[in-house]
Amino acid sequence: MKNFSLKTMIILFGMTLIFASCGDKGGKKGATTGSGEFGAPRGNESFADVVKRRDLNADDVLAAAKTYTPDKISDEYIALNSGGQAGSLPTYMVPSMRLVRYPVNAARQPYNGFGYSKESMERMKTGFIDGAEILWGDTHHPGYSETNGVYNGKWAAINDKANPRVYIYSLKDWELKQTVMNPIFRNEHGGAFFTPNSEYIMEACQYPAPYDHKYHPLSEENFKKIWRGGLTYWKFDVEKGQIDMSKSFDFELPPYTQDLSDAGKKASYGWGFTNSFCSEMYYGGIESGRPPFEAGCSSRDVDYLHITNWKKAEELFKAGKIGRKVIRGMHVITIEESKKYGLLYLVPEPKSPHGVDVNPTGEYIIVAGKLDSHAWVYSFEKIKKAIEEKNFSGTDKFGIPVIKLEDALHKSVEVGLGPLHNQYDKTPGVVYTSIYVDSRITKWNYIEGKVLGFVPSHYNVGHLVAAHGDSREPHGKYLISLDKLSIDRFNPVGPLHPQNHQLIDISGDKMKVIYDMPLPLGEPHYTSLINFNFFKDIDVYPVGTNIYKYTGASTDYKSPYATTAGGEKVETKGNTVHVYATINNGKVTPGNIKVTQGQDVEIHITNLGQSKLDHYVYEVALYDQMYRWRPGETATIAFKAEKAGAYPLLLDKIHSPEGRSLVGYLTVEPNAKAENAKLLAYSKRIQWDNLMQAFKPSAIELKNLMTGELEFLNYGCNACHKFGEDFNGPDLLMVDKRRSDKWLEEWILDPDSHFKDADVQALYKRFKLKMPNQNVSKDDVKKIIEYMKAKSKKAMEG
Amino acid sequence: MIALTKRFLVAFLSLILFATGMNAQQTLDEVKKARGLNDNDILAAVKTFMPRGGRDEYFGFAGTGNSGTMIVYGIPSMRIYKYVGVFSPEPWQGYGFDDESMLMLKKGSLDDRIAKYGDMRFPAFSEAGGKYNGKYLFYSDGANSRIALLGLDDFETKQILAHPLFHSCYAGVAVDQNTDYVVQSSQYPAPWDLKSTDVKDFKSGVTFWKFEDAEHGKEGHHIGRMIKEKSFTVELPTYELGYFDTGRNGSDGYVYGIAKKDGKTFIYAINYKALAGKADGSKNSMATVSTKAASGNVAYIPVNGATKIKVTPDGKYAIVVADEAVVLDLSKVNGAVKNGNIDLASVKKSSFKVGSGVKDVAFEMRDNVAYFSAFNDKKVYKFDYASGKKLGEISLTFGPSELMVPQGLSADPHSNYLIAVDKEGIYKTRHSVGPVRPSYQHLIDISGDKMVDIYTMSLPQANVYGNVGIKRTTIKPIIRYPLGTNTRTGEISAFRTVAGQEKIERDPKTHRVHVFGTLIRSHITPEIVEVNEGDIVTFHLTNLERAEDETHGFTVDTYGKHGSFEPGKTASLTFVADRPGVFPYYCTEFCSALHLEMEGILLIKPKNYKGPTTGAEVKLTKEELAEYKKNYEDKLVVIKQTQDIINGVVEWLKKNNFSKYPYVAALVDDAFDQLKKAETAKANHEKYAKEGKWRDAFLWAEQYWQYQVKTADVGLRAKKLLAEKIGVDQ
Repeated sequence: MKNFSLKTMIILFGMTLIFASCGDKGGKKGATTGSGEFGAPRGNESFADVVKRRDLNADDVLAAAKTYTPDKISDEYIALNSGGQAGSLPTYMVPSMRLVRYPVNAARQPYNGFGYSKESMERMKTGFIDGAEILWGDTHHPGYSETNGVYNGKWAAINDKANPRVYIYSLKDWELKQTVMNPIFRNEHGGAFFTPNSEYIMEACQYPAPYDHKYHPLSEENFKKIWRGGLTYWKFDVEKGQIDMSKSFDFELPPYTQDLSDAGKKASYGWGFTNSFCSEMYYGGIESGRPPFEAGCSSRDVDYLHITNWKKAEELFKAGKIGRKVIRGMHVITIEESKKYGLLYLVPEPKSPHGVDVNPTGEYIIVAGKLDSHAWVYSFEKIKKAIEEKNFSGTDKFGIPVIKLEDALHKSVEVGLGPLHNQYDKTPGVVYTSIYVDSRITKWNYIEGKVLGFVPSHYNVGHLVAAHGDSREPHGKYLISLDKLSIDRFNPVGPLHPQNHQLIDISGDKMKVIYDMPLPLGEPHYTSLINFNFFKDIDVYPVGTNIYKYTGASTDYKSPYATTAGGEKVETKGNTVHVYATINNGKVTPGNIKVTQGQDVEIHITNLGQSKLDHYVYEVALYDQMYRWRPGETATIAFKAEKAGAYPLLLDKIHSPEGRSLVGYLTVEPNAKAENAKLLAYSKRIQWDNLMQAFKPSAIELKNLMTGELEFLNYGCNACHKFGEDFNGPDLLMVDKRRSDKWLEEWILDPDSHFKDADVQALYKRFKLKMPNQNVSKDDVKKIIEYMKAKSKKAMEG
Repeated sequence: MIALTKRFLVAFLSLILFATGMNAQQTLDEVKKARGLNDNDILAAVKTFMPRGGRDEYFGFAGTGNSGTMIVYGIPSMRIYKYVGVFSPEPWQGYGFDDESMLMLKKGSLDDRIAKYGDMRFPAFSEAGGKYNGKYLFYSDGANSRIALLGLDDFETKQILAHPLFHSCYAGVAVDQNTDYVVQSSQYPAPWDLKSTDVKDFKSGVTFWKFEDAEHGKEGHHIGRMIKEKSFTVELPTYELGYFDTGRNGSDGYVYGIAKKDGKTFIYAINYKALAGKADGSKNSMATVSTKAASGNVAYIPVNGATKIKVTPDGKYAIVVADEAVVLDLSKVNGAVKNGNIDLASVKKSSFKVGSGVKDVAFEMRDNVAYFSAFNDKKVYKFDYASGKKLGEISLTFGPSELMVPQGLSADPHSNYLIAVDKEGIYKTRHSVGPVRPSYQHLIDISGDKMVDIYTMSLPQANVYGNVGIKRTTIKPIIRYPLGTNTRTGEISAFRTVAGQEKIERDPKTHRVHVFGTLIRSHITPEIVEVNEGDIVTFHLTNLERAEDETHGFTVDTYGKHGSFEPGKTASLTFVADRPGVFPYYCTEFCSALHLEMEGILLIKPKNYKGPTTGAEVKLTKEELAEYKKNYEDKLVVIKQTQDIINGVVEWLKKNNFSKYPYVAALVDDAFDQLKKAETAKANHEKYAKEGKWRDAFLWAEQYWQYQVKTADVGLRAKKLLAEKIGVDQ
């Protein structure tokens, strides 16, 4: 209170304020109105009025002043978050905590146009594992590229747990430049972490599986013999921003369910650290009476910290001495090779750990174990000594040397229940640890083993991030607590809550929570916080750029479809109509496009605009086709002109209040063969849906349907038949008067049954379409016939 | 083991809350100086900063353009609370990835397909008596011609219907005063048959989607839906249609909108309640009213340069937005609709010059007050629309376009806040992250005599147009579902599975496999599933949690499916097991300390597989068995100690009357739920101990302890929350 200066305020508002010094009391509902009815005009309010109305205390006012960032001043940092199951990467500014962007990942993202152009689809397809169309990712840990252990502002990388992939982004435009699939893992977690000069990106396996991707029966013996964990070191070209698989290698590891990793730096440069849980190698089977994974995977008191010597492995790999075994394209350093050349060691660590974090000098490694109340500080010097002296307590079941805990441990410090992740402060020796169960952040000195203070986080903090807090030169100043839950904290928005990211001021001795930010999309696990001065982004691209190939490092980004003003044209090659178009000053040339149903259409558009405002969405209405063109970008929307008719072509000027305007029409001349193909594809989709589950609409919709109408729709009868007019098939009005129930039933259940009949042949000649077998069930066919009768009757009456 | 646990115990007991007073950090003056803030900045800061746990006064919902995703945020903190997939699939929520949402999207389409995106610009709330009732939100899709309904009980998309006629829809929607109809119009003229390319077949129209509502039991589910069979479309000549609004009170039953043709602008007015039941045709299952049948109930008023039209809160007037704003007297307009063409002078109440590049208007609680945005002037003007007198203006650093006042499109607009959209978003001091920039909108304080711009909000992944805002407490969200709910229909799913009833059903003839499973922290039942290559596999999963926030996610690695399972929800994920091998599956939502252990394995056996089908189990040595026995006995001690801690927490909670605080009580319920689940584990470990199967005994004892930890975990949080509520240090 005494440090809270009111002088200016008193002069300005002419009154004295008394704050209640009530600290961090939660549950404040933020009183809303002054006098009178809710929503009535409040009139002119002084500072004191506002403080009173909103029930703010001195801490609140200070926090507001520390985070409020009006247009005249700048934010300092940007937080790049993993999006979890959303895939895309939420990014927000610090300290204002305003979201600015979601760099794309594996899911389509219409605002960016990602997954809607041919070029972006090509980028996506490089991540289709075994050719399977996987349109989402579960991103966990972003990392920035480094030079000499300091962020160099060039690239970011992130991993995908569900679909083992690593993604590379350029910090010039924050767009996705590469997707690399891990060919031997089925699931991963401990990535993507750069080594200090971005030589490699570490990616550790999570749930083990056989490397050969083949089926093997699950048994205790097979699990130990065939199931494998692993740690892949992806060779990274820091200039080009590309991973080179041929120069990458993987450490074969026991099936210990590896978890997070970190690369050694300075003192521990050349080494990597990876922790694990379930070193019990247990698998559950609760349905067959086996205790579940959660019981068996946490039954030992300790798990193993894996220590890998990547520098030595690199030399041996380059010399052709190790890693010659290639599995599914990946060079694998076998456990035997690791043992032979001294590349892999284990040290016990607290059970079910999560974070493993190397300190800025590389001398210490802190491991946090979620089921322990201590953080364990390992000394790299001690580890090195034990390795050099071959001072091992023995080996694990795979013969990998195990260093005795006492011989590696510097300190174990009680920091709170459920320590999860660590981030380093600017002050040497100071670290922040998130405490999951106790829901707090502990600040402590890992060299002296002394706890310095706590700050309560709201709820179940997962990871945390400090400014440059995992680099060689941490900035201190800001810390963010990534709280997994947000009960009773924000306006309620249904059963799926936002996460809560709490900004903590760590510039002083005491940590102060200064902002609670709801994180509205996805479930971030890990964040990296980079200062804006550490990277340089661009506003526009050179005209004709395929942005998914643009890295700023090479010149092969020019699209073969780049079109200049005046060079617009339409070309038909085989069955494909190529339209070469431009957007020039908000005008699209050419405007109208004419094709025939069944043709493939590729509209290649070059955005000639070169200002920050020149962002356009071009779309084909009702054709589900669009893309967003950045300034200078060339991109293609490619589709089959499946349906006939006239469809507006539209241009939306994103950064203009004019909005959307009509460019012209896509006219698709009908073609009978293409119409048939369209209907058959429709029929196939219906058949697949019916395999999924019987669709049942909500009660009110159902109430408004006639008996059998739902079945009529669910089997897709409406694709071809209407009542009162011929459509793709014959008019069904009064069909019950023309055909017997028996005939109809036979016909629907098996269209081949009457196909040869002369009258059916006559219809076939007319409609040129054979009635497909929709696998209608016997019960449903009766309902459909009933519906056709009732609908006809209603139509005749109506 | 025991040593570790003692530390665990100490940590439990030393749980300290810090209700500290002022810290010895910077003073406000120092912060101001360091950050270059002045007194006005601090005033704006305290008006928008949300103290911890505070609630925003209003919810804002944004029209997000081609993102196809709803954004809900709080006013005045301008923090975004949630993105919800509407017209575009969204993997976080499993929207367009689980069977239930896929079917909802497909069956609402015309060709059994899920469109990949939509374009939504001007949302509308459901109303009762002209006031927002906080139950539903509607969006129109300007790209793929659909209409959407969101339930504001759980903030999920509940219905998507493809428009059976329009190739191009205006991306705005309006609702009448009792939500009888949801109005949607075409934008650019096109044929209505997905066939013709002839300009002569081009049409325009306005559709009135019939809406029916019902309460669903005591859970408060909002299960109202639009009923296609009772809806109708009024055909209009080939105008390009724009923004529209519905009448209110005296003008109820009318819709007024912008129509353009050959460079001329008109206001159209439709007396649609008179046209209900007047359909003289039907196309693609949509009743249609031809221009002939509609004549006498549709009229046009020429108004130059009109960009928008909005009906005043009392329903007496409509303001036509233009540089020279026009106030229409709606009783006169409605009286003249029968004439078809209306002379502006005969229905105009007044007009007044506003500014240059006028884009929008917004109303507030004060009588006759309207705010106009003028893009070219970079100003917002405040007018008395009854007198045409300018009441004030604010110069902005940007050209404003769309405006929104909370409750502003209802009969009950509020004062104090105005949101103005900045489409250009050029800020010298604001860093960007590459060419793709967010949308921006500003919060303008209109509570006092002078308007003040107090906050600049960025909205990424959104091309923001219109917003709507509603008083926070009008929306009454649920926090969990009745067990087994299909959230898209609001009904109990046929695949609901309760604890103990998990099973796998196989039909070898059709290669169909149904897994009926459950999710609870921290295991998925079943944990091991084996199928054959080519099987069509569905995981039907039910989240058994009752605790708020205990959402689980589910995916099978590299099979491209993802589901989000909020407490009580049942959803299904179907895929063809077309790639043999070993595929871990796991919970994707961080749900507890043992979240990472919430995993399972799907084994897919190849076709014609000839290899071994089982592998050897590892036999325990005598020594190993003895060690397990010791471990088991140690574990029993730990269990006893942990129980003491739990008892201590319970005692504290009881002493402090926890049941008076619903959030705390819910947590305590959950804690005891966890302990109840432990009973099976206890029976198992005791049974195996009797049989001398020490490994099983130990593992089940371990499982018992896991439940205790969960109990303690939740109990401690309840304690923390209660301590906060009652303001005591522990």
